[in-house]
Amino acid sequence: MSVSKEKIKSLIAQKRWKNEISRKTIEYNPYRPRKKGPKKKDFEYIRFPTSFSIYSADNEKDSSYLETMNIVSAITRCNPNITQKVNLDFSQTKNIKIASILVLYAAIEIAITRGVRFKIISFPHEYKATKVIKRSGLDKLCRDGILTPDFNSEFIPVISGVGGDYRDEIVDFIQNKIYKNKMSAHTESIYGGAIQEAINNVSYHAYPTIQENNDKKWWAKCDLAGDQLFLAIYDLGVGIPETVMKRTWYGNILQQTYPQIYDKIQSELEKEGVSISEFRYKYGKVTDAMKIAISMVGDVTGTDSSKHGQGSKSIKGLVTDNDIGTLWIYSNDGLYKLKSGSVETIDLPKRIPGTLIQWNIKVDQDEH
Amino acid sequence: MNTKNINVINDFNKKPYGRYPSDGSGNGEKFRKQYLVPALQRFDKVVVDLTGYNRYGRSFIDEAFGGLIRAENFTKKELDNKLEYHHNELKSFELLIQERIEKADYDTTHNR
Repeated sequence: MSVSKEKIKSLIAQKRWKNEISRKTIEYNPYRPRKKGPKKKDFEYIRFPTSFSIYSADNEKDSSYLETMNIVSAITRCNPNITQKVNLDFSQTKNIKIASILVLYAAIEIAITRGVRFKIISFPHEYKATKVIKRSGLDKLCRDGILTPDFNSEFIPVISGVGGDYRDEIVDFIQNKIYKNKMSAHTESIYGGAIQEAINNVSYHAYPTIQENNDKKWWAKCDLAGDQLFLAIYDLGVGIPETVMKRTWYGNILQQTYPQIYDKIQSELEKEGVSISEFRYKYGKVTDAMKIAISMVGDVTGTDSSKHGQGSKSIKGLVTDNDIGTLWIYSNDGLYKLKSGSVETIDLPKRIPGTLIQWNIKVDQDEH
Repeated sequence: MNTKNINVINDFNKKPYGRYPSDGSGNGEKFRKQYLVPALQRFDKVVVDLTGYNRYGRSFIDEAFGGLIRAENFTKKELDNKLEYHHNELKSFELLIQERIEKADYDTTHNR
């Protein structure tokens, strides 16, 4: 009998140990929707952190990226059958950035279309943070459920578009309100090209299973802070890493961009008996950040498709022309940063759904 | 020698955009098929004026001009002899057209 007791104790200890091991990497998420019974329709309450930002993704000591994305995930998971209304509390928030508000706006707009209602119950005490929320139009979206951009005002809220919507209105706004009609033809061509191609990319690549351009949604935000123009475009598509894997030129550019990784993959796959032509299906070998970097290589001589790379050239054009410009591309598990001709690739601690492209550009309002 | 002048903004679309018909009425494929190809077939010289719009996307330019070699089977030599293009304010668009024609020629001659 005592042997059996020992055995039971051992089994319990083993089970506890296995459970502990399996949960070791799971972090407590304070914003996870509460579990409720199917009949209990209820309110959800989300308190925003001190810093609501995704810019610190590469800083392990700063938890704001994780906290921000946890909230976005919580909103994305809201089920209207369980949660009818979500109260948003910004009272503790001191710092809100444009990229994070864009991602939040998209998540809330999609949740509203599914039947969830939102209410901002408290704005930040910090004036600047409140201004970012109000200028984004998030308060109006929560109140009215829909928001149509007005390009004649001094600032524009988040623009929610499909297909080629608003591409000229965005450049007109930058030209008229930000450059005060002093933008040179050259600068206009650079902005026009970058915005057209970024929107084009959403139509061509982001939603491969959707046929109609009118269903291919994107969100954009454009704001001036000091002499810095922040311009961001976001979509909830499959993400650049997912798209790049399906391209025939992927292997060629990988070989040219990361030759050591290419050689390693080739030798590993040869050992496994897999043909090199199949290696693009081996997802895990190249990080998402590297896949974004590969997609940003222009039409390298030797790639299979002569059409490839037009979008990436225009998107990079805005910052390669401007020493103080930075390009950020978040997609799935990777972040690509281009500044002063130098590229940085960062693995994100938590996946961002879709693709967010952001430019920070120093604005010279005295062109000509 | 008979010459055809095409003004993109006045004759085709005030805001050209995109590659394909799904991108809207000002797409590059439509400009190529309805304006460039017929003109190149009927006239000795075709002069395209891009002036009046400063926001051409690379996709539009590539589809309209690079597509002449990739999709319509013109050769670079034919285009060098017959096709002229200019933008009075932005030489960068002329260089871009030249680049896309050269790239399409390279890819076609190398079977890419």
